Parts: sequence; C-alpha cells; structure tokens
Amino acid sequence: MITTIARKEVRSLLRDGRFWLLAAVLLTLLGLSFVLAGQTLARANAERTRAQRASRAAWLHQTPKNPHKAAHFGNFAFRLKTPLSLFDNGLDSYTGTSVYLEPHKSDDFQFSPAAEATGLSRFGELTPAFVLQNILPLLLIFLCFGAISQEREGGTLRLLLTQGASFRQIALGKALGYWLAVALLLLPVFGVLALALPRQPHAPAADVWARFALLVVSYGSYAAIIIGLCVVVSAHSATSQAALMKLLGLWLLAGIIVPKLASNAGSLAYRTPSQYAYAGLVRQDEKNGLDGHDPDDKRRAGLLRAVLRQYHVDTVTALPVNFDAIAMVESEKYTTSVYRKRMGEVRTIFRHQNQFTTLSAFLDPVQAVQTTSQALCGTDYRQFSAFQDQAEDYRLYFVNAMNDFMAAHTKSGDWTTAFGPAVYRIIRPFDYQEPRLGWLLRHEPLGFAALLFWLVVSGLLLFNLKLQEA
Amino acid sequence: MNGLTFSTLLAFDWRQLRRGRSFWLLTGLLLAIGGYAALYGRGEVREQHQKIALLRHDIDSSMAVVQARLRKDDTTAAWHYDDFLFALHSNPPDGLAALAFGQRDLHKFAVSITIGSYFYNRYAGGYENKTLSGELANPQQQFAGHLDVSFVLVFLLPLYFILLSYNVLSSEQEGGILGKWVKNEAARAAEEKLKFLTEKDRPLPGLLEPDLLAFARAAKAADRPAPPIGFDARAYYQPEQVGLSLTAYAAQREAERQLVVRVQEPVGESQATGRADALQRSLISKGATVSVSHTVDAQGNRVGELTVQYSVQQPRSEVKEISFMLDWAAKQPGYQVQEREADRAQRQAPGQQDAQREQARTPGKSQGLSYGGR
Repeated sequence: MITTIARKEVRSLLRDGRFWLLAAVLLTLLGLSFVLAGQTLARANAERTRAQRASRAAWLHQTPKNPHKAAHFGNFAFRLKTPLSLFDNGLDSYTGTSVYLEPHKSDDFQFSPAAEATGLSRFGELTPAFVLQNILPLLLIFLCFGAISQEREGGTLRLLLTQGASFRQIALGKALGYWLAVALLLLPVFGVLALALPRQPHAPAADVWARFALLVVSYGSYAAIIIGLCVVVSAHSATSQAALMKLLGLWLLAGIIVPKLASNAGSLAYRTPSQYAYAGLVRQDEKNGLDGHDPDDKRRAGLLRAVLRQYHVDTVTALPVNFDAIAMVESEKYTTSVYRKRMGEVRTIFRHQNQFTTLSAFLDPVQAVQTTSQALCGTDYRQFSAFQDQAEDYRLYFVNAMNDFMAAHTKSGDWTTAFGPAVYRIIRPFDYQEPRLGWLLRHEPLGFAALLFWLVVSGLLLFNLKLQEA
Repeated sequence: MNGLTFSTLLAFDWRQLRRGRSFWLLTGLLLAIGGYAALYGRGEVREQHQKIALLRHDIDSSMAVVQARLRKDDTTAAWHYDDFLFALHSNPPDGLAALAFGQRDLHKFAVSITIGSYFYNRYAGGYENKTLSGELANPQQQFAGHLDVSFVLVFLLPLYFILLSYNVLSSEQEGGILGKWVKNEAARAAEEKLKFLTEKDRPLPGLLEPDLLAFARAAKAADRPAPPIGFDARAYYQPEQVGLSLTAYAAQREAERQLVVRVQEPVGESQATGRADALQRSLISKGATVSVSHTVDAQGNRVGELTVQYSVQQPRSEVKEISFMLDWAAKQPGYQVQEREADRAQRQAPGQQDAQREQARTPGKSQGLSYGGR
C-alpha cells in the first residue's frame, strides 16, 4: 500500500508543473554555483601550486650560506583546496590560504578571501552546499506543505481511508514518494559532482570516494528528514495555509536564526583572547620556561654541560660539533612546544565555542547537515587545524635539519662557512596529507550523530502520526 | 482617498491586527531577537575596546620603564630601548559599530608598532623584521556571521512584514470574510465592523469589492435592508459624493416600493396599442420610475409589463397622484396591477386622508368621492 501511494505521489509530482518549476530553480542555482565553485577551485589551486613551487625553487636556489641563515629565508606552506570543496566551501573563505615558515617563530595564517571581500559575502556564499542546505528545504516546503492538509481540505483523505489505507501508510507513502522524486532530481547533481571532482595527489582517490559516498548518504538523509517534518507538520495543521506558515517559520528559525544564535552564544560564553595577550604569554614562556622556573640562560647552561659530558671534553672550543647550532636545535624544540601549548589553549577556547554549534545540530537539522558536509568535504575547523599542525611539524623539521647539519659540519662560533644547494636539497618539499575519513569519524562524530538523531526523530514522528480528523 | 477615509481604514486594520495572536507572536519574536542583536553588537564592540585598552596599558607601562631608566642614566645607546619602544596604532570601533559590526572581526584593529614592524610587507626577509599578525579568530564563528541589529533590519524585518501582511490580506480576501462573516460564530466580527462604520456618523470609506459584498451581508445579518443587486454601492459609499449616513440610507431603502403592471394590448383593438407606453409616460410625469418590457402571450397578443418604482418618502402629493393613476389602471379591463397589499394600503393612505378631510368639509358628497372600495 505504501509503495502504491508513493508511486502515485511520484507520478503526480512529475506531472505537476510546480515541481518542474522548483526543479528548474534548484538546478539552475546548483549549476551556477558549481560553475563558480569549479572556477574558484581551479584558479586557487593552480595559483597555490605555482606559489608552492616558487617557494621551493627560491629555497633551493639560495646563494651558498650558513645553513641556519638559509633556514631564515624560510618556506611557505600553501593549503590546496580539497577536491570536495568544489561542493562545500565551508570555512575556506575564513581560514587563510598560506603560512610563512621560519625559525624561532610560529606565524599565523594569512590572506583569507573573506577579509578581502565586502560585507555582502557575510550573507552567505552561493555554493552547491548552501543551495542544498538552505534552498532545497525551502523548495521541499513548497512541495510538501499540503501533503496531508490538502487531501483533508479536498475531502480525498476520507476517500483514501475508505480504500483501506491506514493513516500511517498514507503519511509514509507520501513521504517516500516525495523523497523518491527529490532523489531523482539530486542523483544527476551528485553524478556531475563525481565527474567534476579534481584528482589531487595529497588526497587519495579511495578516501575521496568514501567521503563522497557518505556525502550522498548525508544529503539523502537530510532530504528525508525535511520531508518527514513537512508531512508531520502538514498532518497537524488544520489548513494548508497554516502548514505553510508554520513550515516557513521553522525554516527561518533553523536556517538563519539558530546557526547565528548558536555561534554568537559560543563567542559570548567563551571569549577569544587578545592576540597581543597571547603573544605576551608566548614571549614569557620562551624567556622563563614553560613552568616559569626555567629561564632560557639556565636552559642553555644545562645543555652545555650535557654536551660537554657527551663528548668528554672541557671547553666549547674543544667540541667536534657546533654548540651554537645544538643550542638552536634545542631552543627550536622548546619554543615549538611553547607555541603548541599556547595554541592548544586557544584551540580549546575555539573548540568550546564551536561546541555550541555542534550541539545545536541536535536542535536544528540544518546545522547537522552543515557540520557533516563541511567535515566530509575537508573544509571544517578540525581539518584546517590538521593542516596547521602539519605545517608546524614541517617548520620544526626543516629548521632543525639545517641546525643539525650546521652542528655536525662546523665548529662552535663558526657562522660563516657557506654550504650550497646540495644542503638545501636535504630538505624534502612540504607535502600535505589530508586526514583520512576514519580519523575524521573518530574526531568529529557529533555531526554524524546529530544527523542520525534527526533521521530517527523524523521517522518516529512520521510513524506515530495519529489521525486528527479526516 | 481623503485623509479621513485613510485614517478610518488605518484605525480599523489596526483594531483587527492587534486582536490576532500571530501579530503579537511575530512582534514579540522580532523584538526579542532585536534586543539580543543589540546586546550582541554592544558586547563585540566592548570586547574590541577592552583589547585596545589592554595594549595601551602595556605600552604605557613599557614607556614608564624607559622613562625611569633614562632618568637614572641618559647615556645609554638608544637601541637598548628597542624592546620597550612601542607606539599604539588602533582603529577603535565607534558606537554605531554595535549596530552593524560588518567586517570588523576580520581585520586588525590594534597593533603595536615597534622597530622593524611592517604593516603591509609582512614577509619581508631578515631576522629583525617582525610580522604583525592579525587578531586571533575562530573561523567557524566568522563563517556563522553576526546577529547584529543591521542583520535584523536587513534580513528579518522584511520577512516580518511579509508574514504579517500575508496573514492579514490573504485571510481577509480568501474567503475569510465572505465565508465566515455570515456564519454565526463570526457574526461578532461583522457586527463590530458595522458598528464601527456607523458610529458617530463616520463617513464610510471607499471599500474594496469583496468588502462591499461582505458589508452587504453583514448589513443583512444585522437586520438592515441590503442594497439590491446591481445597485452601485460604490457611489453610495463615497462620502464626498452622497454623504449619506447609514441610518439615512437604511430609511431610504425601506421607503422604496416596487410593483408590476401588466397591460394587454389585443391585436384586434386598434385603440389598445400603445396603452402601456401611455401609462408609463403618465406615471413618470407623476414622479415614479417606470421601465417597460413587451412580450407576446399565447394568443399572439402583445403584453406590456411595467415595473414601477416609487418611494413613500417622495412628496405626499406625488405619492397621491401615482396612487390615483395606479388605482385607475387597476379598474381598467386588460390592466393587471401586482403589488403587496400593505404597499397598496400605504400609497392609498394620503388620498384617503384627503378624501376624508374633504368629506368632513362637505358631508353631503361623501358617497360619491370614496374610492378604492367596492
């Protein structure tokens, strides 16, 4: 019986001019956003790949000099956009595109596209994800608001009931029918996305496809959730007009107000520290030690004693290695741990702030799908942090590789012996590896849980619909 | 539309609006969000001010150190103080930024300038060059954006008006009034509208078509005479054209009478042709409104049908004349007067009164002058 109703619903939807009008609107918006996103992605990645190569070439073609001084010329880490960012741009506009890596200092990410845009961009960007998250529900509302109430108003609900269909079967059948019609519409969209996905070395194809599959499942569930809620509201409304008003109100709340409210509440509850205060703390830690009782000159003296003991000599000049460089290796490790500790504190604050958004996903299905979508497309905060960490690891690696080389091949006090490009070639180029899906599911499970929660809630509501009046 | 009409409409719609639950719900919601938005914007502005104040405080204490040392010994080389010499460069938010926070969270608003600071050339090489990093910011917060007053005004206020007017207009037009007003449970609304319109001789506004019909039904429900179909209510409702109060109008409608006179014009009788038209002419000359339509009956005879309209409010003499004419017609063969008994009695009353008065003056002639009887 459910399939009969569903089949009838699909057939009448496909015959309905309204459906095709809405489909045309949706597909036009999606097509437009795909073209825009595709261009942005291709241009950004081409520029960043070129810049990354230029940075590497500049590194390799330095004039011969002291290795530590060479390290000061630094390297850049450019973040390539992920293949699936074609679909969901996520936080990419706000996270910055590159970071300068140099000894002694951990620099910030710079040049976020949003900072260079006008305030208009804050109303939301036209990306395929935005269209599916915010516009699709609106169209679904226009399609489904009369699902039950219109049958009731037209007197056909009574007819259906006398045909032997239970109210539950009618509701489930209708929801299934709407879902199938929407699936019919969205499958080609995801087909196009699959074909258009760029191949990238840092994102293995198997992982991208697994993410893609989950993405399709997520949006399929999202459409099911919205349709389920629409049918439930329609059944509980006396008139179709009332159902439409209620659903539009919910859309406004869930799509626009709650996301902002949750995020704002997060930043009110946990204040972001001042950059200046944070920099002051880092300086203090470097100087006085992480525990505050280990000043840098004392650290250096201790290190010297240990090195002298290791080489069984009494004076720095007698050492076969360059102690200055060894001290720099240790200092670099130390300052990096300082940066990591303080950055960790800041990230904890950010995580607390973001927790509001993640938890609001259990109140708001739009937030749920947004969180999962950004996670799967690699454009959420967690995966940006992963890039930051890898860039920071690379900074420590190349600076200390240079320091180590200097330590092994020069004597203490020697800052002038020059080494050529052969030494610079020791350093492997920066090679970012996207986190794997498994890592993602372990670290950010709440978004997926929220989506599942909504699927269950929507299903239960639909399943337990009681006939109010025929 | 004149000012009075406009204010009448405004007063009525406000009355209707404030009675609805959705109006208060929506307004409450908008005000709550607006209040929150104002608080949020204030909080963000205050936070930036605090961060600037913190920087200023540190720079001041740094300068205090330099001053103290210089007072003790002013022969030290200047570069010894490099680490203590800062200048604050800030762009504090003004009060209005709380209403529209815009892009302030994306840009630097306070930097301490010192030796080797480059604002634009961030990546200038060399150990001495210090980069000026931006504020710490959570990209996810930036992505969500602000819920400030400008957002409420730009985004939510239009939606508020759409929802409000959607409810008001559509519910009134789409059968709200037409369907429900006649029903008993909604009669209260109809009565109130009527009462509102009639109180203090308020001139009636030029209403829209559905309202006109609704008004007619409401008037009927309230036991007032309704305008006949085809009656140009618009002209009536235009106060500057007619200026009638509803009571006056109701009285006028009540005074109107209508009857039908059928006049047979047999084919064979030459003098019979044109009887109907003759009667029409004479009735019109007496002050009645008459229209004639001609048909042919089963025997092939012409039949003229006169629809006669007059009002008992017309001058007494006119009513009397019309009545004489109708009575005369009623007595002629081939003439048929169809009217209500009560109407007939009413229109004959002036003539009878005059006759009685005449009879009282000349009692001898009473017999001959009586009419309408026998």
